Amino acid sequence: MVRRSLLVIPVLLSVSVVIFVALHLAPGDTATVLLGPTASTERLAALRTELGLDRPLPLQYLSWLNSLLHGQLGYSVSYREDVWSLVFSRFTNTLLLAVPAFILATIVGVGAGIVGGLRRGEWVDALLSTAAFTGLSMPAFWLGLLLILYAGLELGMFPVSGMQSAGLTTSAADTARHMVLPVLTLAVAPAAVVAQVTRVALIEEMGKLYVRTARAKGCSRRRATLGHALRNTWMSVGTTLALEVTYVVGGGVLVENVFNWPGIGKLLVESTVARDYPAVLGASLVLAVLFVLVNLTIDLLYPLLDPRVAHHG
Amino acid sequence: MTASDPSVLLQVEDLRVWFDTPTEVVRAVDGMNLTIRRGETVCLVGESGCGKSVTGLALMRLIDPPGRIQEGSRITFEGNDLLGLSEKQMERIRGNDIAMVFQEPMSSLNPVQTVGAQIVEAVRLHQDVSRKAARAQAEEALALVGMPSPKERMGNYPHEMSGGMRQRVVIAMAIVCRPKLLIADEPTTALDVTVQAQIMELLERLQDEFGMSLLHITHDLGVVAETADRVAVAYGGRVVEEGSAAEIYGHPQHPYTEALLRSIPVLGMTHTQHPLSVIRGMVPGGAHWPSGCRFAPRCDYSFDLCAEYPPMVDLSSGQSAACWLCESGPRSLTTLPTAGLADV
Amino acid sequence: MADPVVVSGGVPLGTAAGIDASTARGKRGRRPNNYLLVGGTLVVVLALLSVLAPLLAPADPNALGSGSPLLPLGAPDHLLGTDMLGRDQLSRLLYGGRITLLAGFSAAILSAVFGVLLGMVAGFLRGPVDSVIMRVLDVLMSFPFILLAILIVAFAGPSVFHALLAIAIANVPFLARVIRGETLRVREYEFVVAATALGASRTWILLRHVLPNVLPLVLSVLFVNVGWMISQTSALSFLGLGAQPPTADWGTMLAEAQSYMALNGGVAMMPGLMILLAVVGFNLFGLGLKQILLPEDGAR
Repeated sequence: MVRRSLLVIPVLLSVSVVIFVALHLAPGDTATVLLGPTASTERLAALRTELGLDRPLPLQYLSWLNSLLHGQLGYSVSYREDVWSLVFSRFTNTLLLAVPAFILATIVGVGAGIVGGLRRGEWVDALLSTAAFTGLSMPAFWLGLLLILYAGLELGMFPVSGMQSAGLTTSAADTARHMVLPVLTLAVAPAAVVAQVTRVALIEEMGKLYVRTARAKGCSRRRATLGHALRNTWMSVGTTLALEVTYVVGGGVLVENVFNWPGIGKLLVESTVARDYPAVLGASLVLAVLFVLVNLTIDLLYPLLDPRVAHHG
Repeated sequence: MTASDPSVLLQVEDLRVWFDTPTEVVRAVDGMNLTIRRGETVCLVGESGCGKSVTGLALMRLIDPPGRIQEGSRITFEGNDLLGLSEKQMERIRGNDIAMVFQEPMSSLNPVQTVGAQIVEAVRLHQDVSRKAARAQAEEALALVGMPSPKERMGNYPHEMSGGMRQRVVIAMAIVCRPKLLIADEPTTALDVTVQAQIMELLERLQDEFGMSLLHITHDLGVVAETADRVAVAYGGRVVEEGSAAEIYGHPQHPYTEALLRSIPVLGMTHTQHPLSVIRGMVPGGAHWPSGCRFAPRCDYSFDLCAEYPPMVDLSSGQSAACWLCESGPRSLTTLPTAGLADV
Repeated sequence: MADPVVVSGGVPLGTAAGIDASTARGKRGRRPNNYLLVGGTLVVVLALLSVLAPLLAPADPNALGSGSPLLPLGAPDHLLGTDMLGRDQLSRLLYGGRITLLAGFSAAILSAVFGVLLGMVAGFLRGPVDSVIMRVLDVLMSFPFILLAILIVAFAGPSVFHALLAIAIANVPFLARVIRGETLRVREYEFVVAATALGASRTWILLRHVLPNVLPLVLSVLFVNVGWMISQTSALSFLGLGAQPPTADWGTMLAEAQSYMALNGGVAMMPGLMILLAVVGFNLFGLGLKQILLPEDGAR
């Protein structure tokens, strides 16, 4: 377990290398990129020394890494804000959508997968499978627009933009109402994936011999399926968690933009359009690091799901 | 031998289990008759494809679609019609009055549950006892099946055990509620030869201790010689010969039985004096049974009468067989090398 | 090697993909044909519409005011309505579709070519070459898919071409991994060993022996990938990072639609529906193809 955690370090380092390389691909010298064209000459000079821009590249990387760890991510011209605080403030907003969507998707997905597996071949199964297929095929940004159009604008059930209603002081309830549509949109694709995987895994387990043994012991069909077969599907479902994260992160970028939600995804796109490299890189770095860490956590949770892995992993 | 005979535990009459595939109907079991008495060991023998495993599953009513037990089949357990019971009633019988042990110990146990938990479940499904009491019973069952250090084993997972040990666990799970009938479907086929003998001994011992009946389903006549009381030879979804072990091994009547016995290697046989013979041909799939005697295409003695299905006749030698050759009395064959196997 | 959930660009294929065979119990032998039929029809229809766009479009897609603004669906002369600038939507959809479909298709082909190349080389040569390739791909995969695509576009500049390139690159690692696994399996086949013993060059073996065995997997994955990439490239266009005006594809049309969707919902949502149909079509076709080419996987 400790070994796995340590493996993450080279991955994180490579991520930082990529960002570093990207930084150098941007036009202008690194200091100008980081501080923006409006920065004063003194600050530029100071940063240049700090980063050691006249030194060989690997050393530059190390000093950049060092400044990174001290919170120096550059300055965003378009937002007139230090990138670090910019990213930081947006980060919680993104989590506000990502976490509920993840939880919702897992619950709905597993539930649908179980129902589909149990009722395999019946109309319920066909319906759920079709729904899952459509959910996966549907472009997330279109779904968002649809919900905005029909649930938000026509029916007026939920607000369709931003995190807070204009003019009001921040209230949890108001934010919650704003969260509904984006979270729903975000949860669809991951739920579909989880449903498919759970269903297939359950069906596969249901055909295994130990299920027959359970029934020979006197277990009812239901107990054999839910108590025995289902427990063996957690491993497969666990694999999908990593997949889910991909969907939530990727989908999150789109959803934030459709719903005008001030998170990292929106920051990423806005700054890309504005050619605001420090912000782009800052947001990318944070997103990538987050992604790696979440995957690591899921990896570490595996042994809890399957005793076989615990013994040999 | 009627259903009201108290010594008869299980009576199977005209059991038919058919499977619906997209193209045809596979009649895996097609008129099986079987009688098992209390405390008796009955061996149901035959090659794969003769319907013996399906019979075992049918007795437990574990036949799932596309298979179905046909109308007209009768299974009577302790005088009660088993096929007329509701699923819930059947669940109370499975694992409790009738238990089953399967062929693949490697995959018959739930991989993510401890061995102890699985046996405990078998107890608590049928008895209203505390978890502690159930654990005690489970430990006792493990000890009974010859598991070393049963208390420690309770917390083990199946993958931490060898095949032989897993099979013991499966048996422990089956007998923990002291069933009256244990159905063992090829319990030793997947195990090493030495372990095979141990498991057979174990089953015999459990039988003696609990007065349990055993239905041993197998393809290997060599394995059952010592333990069987009665032997039923199955072919084509039906029983073709039935008798006590001594009768079957000593003077087999049906050509199929004879052929099976001839294919068993016995210590002391020499290649020149007793060449092992192989039954020519293959078992046809259960969708294509010939009309008339089903073994005829592969039989060395077939003749014109075989075009009609022979009835089961009781012979003066003690057993019953379904073959036209026996119509006028038992056949006498040269003594087979396996003749002495059942004499213990 | 047991078949895991094969993932390509985040789309689960293999055992987890879509409606599996067991759902359509009643239509036993016809299952794969259903997918191929429906999917194939959709794909062919869309392809035809794109190719024949100049013939089918009733108006110039960029002509402002070819009709009154915001006409609803079913309006005379403008079957699919007009947007707020009075441009005929049917024409725009037809021409826009060309770009979207072409972009998705090209991205899929590109990533397939490079994925197969890298995967085969890595899997066949093993050793240091394999390690290097795998490390690089691992690093790429540690970035979320869309992040990688956006990063590439951020530095290359937004355009349809850069968008499809970015999506293709982001997808290469997944495909390469799968192909590498398959190559590892195939290279153990006896005829490969025999060919090596006979002195065949490695390139020859790769092309003549390994590739044909890897091809079924690639083909069955390719079409599902096309669907996925159509979705992703339109997403980038939607975000303003793909097609730039005056070029319009379905993604940009949806982005524009945001400004008038409250006034003309049906018309505004059409491009999204088209994307859905395209993705569904390619997905179904890919699934159907997979059931034919890789029957062992379909036995669920």
